[in-house]
Amino acid sequence: MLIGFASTVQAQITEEATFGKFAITNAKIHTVTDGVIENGIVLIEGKKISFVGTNAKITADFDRIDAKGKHVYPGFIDSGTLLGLKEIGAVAVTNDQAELGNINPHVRAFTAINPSSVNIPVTRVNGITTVISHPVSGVIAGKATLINLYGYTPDSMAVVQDAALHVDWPSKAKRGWWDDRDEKERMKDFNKRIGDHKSFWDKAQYYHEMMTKYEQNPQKYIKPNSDVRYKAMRDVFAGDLKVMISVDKAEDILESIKWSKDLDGIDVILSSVQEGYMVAEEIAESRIPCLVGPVLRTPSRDYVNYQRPYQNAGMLHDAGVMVAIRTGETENVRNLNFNAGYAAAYGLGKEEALKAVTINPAKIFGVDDQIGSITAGKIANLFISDGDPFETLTQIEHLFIEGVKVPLENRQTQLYDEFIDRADVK
Amino acid sequence: MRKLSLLITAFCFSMFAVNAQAQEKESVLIKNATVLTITNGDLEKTDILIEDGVIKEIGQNLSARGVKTINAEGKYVMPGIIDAHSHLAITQGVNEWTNPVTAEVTMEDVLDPNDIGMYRALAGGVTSIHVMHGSANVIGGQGETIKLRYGQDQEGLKFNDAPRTIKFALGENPTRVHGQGFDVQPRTRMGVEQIVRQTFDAALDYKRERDAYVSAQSKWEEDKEGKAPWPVAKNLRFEVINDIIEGEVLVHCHSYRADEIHMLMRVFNDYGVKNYTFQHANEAFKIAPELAANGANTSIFSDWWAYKFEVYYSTAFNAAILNKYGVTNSINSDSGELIRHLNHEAAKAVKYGGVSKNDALKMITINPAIQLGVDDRVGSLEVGKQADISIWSGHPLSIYSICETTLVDGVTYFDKDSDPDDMRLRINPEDNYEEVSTSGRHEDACMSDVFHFFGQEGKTAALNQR
Amino acid sequence: MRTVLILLVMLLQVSLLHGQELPARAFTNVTLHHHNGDVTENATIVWRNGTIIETGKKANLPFDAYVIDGGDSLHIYPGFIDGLALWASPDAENNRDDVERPGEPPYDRAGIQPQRLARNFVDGSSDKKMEEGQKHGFTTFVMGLNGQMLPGQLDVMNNQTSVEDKQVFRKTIGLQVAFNAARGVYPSTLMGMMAKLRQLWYDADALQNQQNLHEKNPETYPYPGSDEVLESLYPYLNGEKPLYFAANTPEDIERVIKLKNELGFDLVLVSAEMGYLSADLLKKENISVLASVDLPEKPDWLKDEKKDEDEEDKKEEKKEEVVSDEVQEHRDKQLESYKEQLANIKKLNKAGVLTGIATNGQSLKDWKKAISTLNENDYTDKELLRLMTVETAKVLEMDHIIGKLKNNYMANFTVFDKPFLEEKAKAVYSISAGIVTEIEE
Repeated sequence: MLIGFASTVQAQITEEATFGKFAITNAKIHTVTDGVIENGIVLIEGKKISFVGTNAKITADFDRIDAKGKHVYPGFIDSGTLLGLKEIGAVAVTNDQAELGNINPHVRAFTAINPSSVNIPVTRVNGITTVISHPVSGVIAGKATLINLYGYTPDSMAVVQDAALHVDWPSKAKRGWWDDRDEKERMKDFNKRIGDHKSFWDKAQYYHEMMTKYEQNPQKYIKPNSDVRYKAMRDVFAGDLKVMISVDKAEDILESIKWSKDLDGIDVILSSVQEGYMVAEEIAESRIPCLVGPVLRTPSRDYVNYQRPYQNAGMLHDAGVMVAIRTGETENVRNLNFNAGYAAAYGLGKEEALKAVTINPAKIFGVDDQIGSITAGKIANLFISDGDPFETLTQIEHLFIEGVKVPLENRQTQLYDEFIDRADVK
Repeated sequence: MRKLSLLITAFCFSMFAVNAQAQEKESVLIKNATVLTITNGDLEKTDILIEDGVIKEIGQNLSARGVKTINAEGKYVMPGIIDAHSHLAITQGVNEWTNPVTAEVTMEDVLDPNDIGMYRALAGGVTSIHVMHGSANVIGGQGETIKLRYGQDQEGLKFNDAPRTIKFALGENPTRVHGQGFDVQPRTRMGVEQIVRQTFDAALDYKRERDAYVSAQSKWEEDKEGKAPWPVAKNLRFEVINDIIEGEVLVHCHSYRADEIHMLMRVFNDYGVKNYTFQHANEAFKIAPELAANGANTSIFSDWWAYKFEVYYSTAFNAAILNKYGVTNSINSDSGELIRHLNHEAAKAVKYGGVSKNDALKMITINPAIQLGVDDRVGSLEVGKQADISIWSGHPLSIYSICETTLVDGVTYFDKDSDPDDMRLRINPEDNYEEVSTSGRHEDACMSDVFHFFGQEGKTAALNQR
Repeated sequence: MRTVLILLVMLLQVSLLHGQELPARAFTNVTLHHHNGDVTENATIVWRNGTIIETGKKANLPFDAYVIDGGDSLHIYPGFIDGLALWASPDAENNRDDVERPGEPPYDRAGIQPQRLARNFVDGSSDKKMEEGQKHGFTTFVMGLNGQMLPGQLDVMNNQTSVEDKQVFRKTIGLQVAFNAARGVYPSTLMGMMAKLRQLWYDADALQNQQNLHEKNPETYPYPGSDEVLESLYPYLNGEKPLYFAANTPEDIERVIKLKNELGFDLVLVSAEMGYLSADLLKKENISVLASVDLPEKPDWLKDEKKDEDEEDKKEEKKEEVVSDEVQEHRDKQLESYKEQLANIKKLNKAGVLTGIATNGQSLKDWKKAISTLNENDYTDKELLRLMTVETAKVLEMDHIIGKLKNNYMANFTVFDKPFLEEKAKAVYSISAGIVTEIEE
């Protein structure tokens, strides 16, 4: 049975999304976790993948898609974006990714996701079905969210509403060539920020312990006064919320790893990790997974080999680090495939690069039971392409997000349709 | 041990320096490659013979005595990529933003031959770039087309006899910098048009007076008859504007919205200006027929958009639409990051809208060459053209292809396998090992030194490009 | 101070009587350090009317000579000459005011002030600054002004802190120029400054022609008005006097020379921290240099190594810093570059470029440290002394009258209590154009 969604609600899409039962046949299925299946069948029923294999009875109520000569891949996951939070960089009122202040563990990206962001349909047509969207600014920037790129409310889009606490590790380095603070000023800024961070962390931990004591024995203890920031940290100390640390410089990576060692029962993830390759062994030893990227960025130091940013993910993987790939993008998250492609070409290899945008981020964020591979029982986030999705020339032909067959349409394709054959030009 | 490594380092360093300075042009034989000529199809198992920096012959089974040979079996050879929009190699100060018209300043005066960005571009197969003034002013400064002869001094970088160019800018940038920034017109797109018109008119007035003086003066110096003419000072700014009107300077205009692109075409038609290129031109697809009719060119991003309101209504299919209507379109970087993989950016023209592979490659070779007025010398592999060449491990439009060698005038300026990691030309003794700039990958260089006009947002936007 | 008072009184008396001849003065039992490295012990130096009349072991003392006995402990050096000093200048104005049209700022807001004459900026507060100069051995300096692109014109000053009129040794020897942009107004960039310099030249040229025409035929030609900024450029338009143009990198030096060849001005290159990379070009274009000694900072790791070396007794405790190959390679290159820049002046000399020195904004304290550093890095005492005296005099084309302890040369010299390059050496007297200043602690 097909359920059509009214096209008026998502104003920029004119085609209808469909939902129900789908059978993809004759496909080369890249399951990621169970190898490649030739001439395979994937059955989608409702939100989930109900079958993956070569032999299945397909009843008449299934919408068939003959994928002969095509490929089925799990929907890609971008482990770091501002998608849904930021709209137009130069227009401040359209951007919600950066709250004021240095310590904001309580602000939630989930709250500010705009499901109607023009960027979302532009992104998903390239096969990216799921992203982490994280707040920035300050040291403790807020809680990142993991969302699927289809839905009318953040609630329906969220895979995990609060996926990680984003800590932006302070650095002594210059932020860019325009940064003309001298070394003393930078040290001063750094010391203040790291000081604020550590002292807040200690106080928040203390608060958690006190609240826990109180909750266990409300008769005996006095309830600590509420503080929205400390309260927001409780999930972290209870081990229910991971901590994602954005850090780039080699020295800072080591510092953040050192700090993380004392976090009992808390899962830590490193993000960006531009100079990860310089300290790959230390990262591997710490067993902290890395969300690496953007891959397409310039080297961090003038004297390092020009290939390092492309090689970073591969070098980390070779050292034994679990690697996912992120773009850090907003309007060009669609280039995740190509970030992965460059990482693959410069040492990571296609297979590992594929994992880095599917099962690895799923595992890192603890949702590998739901997404990240073509496996029966998992959520139907997948796409059908005419070739290797990392190759620029590949076309995505069909897209499913949470079992919904999403039209491969967005404002950019509509502008193409309108202007490739302008109505007034004969 | 340390002394030995010091010696080795010094040796390697000096070796590299010697090689770079040694010769400006070389003779080379490239053998057995798949040659993508751009203008004459793709040729299998073909050789290219280069003599003194010029392509002498393209064919099979070529041989030449005593000439360095590059075995390119299994490789793809294409013309060096040309980036029509770059701010690399500029000694700090991309924008003389203090006045809406600054035609008198020129990038030729401020080239920085030590920018490592040039080497990284060579590593991406780029051989020539158009170094431009930023986009803060309606009429900005003159540009300079250079070849990436990394290691040469400022003079050695120049693309000899390339036509002069100049930067114009429309839309949000100049109205924000001048109108919003310090209450100097233009504040609106209406004002932008008038700045161009009034500058052109004033320049033409100046020309009349100045020409009259110059000819009267030379006549008086000859004859010594009558009275000496009243001196009219040479005005550098107006001289350049007149050169534009007379077609000696190619205009490259930063623009986004279809209506402002249209406006400038109208203005240029009024003053008889031709051969101009709209840079970025995110909305050019909306008026592709008009652009073609006016002989206007475009040089665009493959897929950058949404960073300002004027690019909110962009489409990655821009290149495909322009191409369909016969507009000479190129794909550029305006970025030290993007320039490293323009081959990949060109491939997006195939992905978004089905441009043919060869047309996509044209957008990073012969088309930018046309827009810079150097298409008679570079931009394709043809006998008689300069040997600016890149050699790839696979077809350049595949994401897995890696650029292995890049030649300019036959000289190898990039060799993946033999170049050392550290390719700096000038070592600053005060730069310690830990000097790091974890810059964002956007590096939208057009407005790089005028961030403050975009308020905290501009800076934050840049800082948060993670 | 007392010496000066006595001298003044004597001056007054003598000048009333004779009108010309002033009493002679002398130092005896001193060690003379000549510009060429020669050292004469137990010597005497005699001067009158600001000119040296006798030097040597067997100098004749005139009958009226006022003698100071050096007690065999004083060292006399020819007065150091600073080829372009800013230390006597008032601070630059805080030039950040908003302007209605940043593209058309008033001249001074844009830092274009070539009409300013450095000597006009010597005032009450200058004495203290000039004393600093005296302490460091400078008896003569080319005074420049703190400012931006065109701060003013240069005067050669005698470094005398007491007397008013005698301070200017030579008036207006050149135009001070630097690629130092004003903030927030045109020109604000390097390319802007280059274009502006060209335009100033064209404008000045036209105005000069207009003024000439009008002067000769006031009925025929209109009055073109006057413009003190443009008019101050006239002597430079046709190379009558040189531009003292500061530039450090080979690229900037090439830019300056490019402008020189375009606009036809005469040039003395100032600062030239990396001048050695352009030595051949400078030699070819016959340009002399007033080099800066604003040396690069010693790399931290090199400072640490030196510290370790010095602490001989702590050898066992010296932590063997484990340094990776990449770091070592980086350090090697850094060290090489550091040494090259230190050798800048030597290399310029070797290439045959006439090189003097100028502090050009460097503090005198830092200058002294830098001289010591150079002394530790292959620059001999003799080389440094030559540099600070006769070589700089040559660049200024005054080596026939200053820079040497020789008869008929100006009485410009400094009396130190130890050889100048020794760490604790202090200036005791400063003599400039014959006027003695006793240096107070």
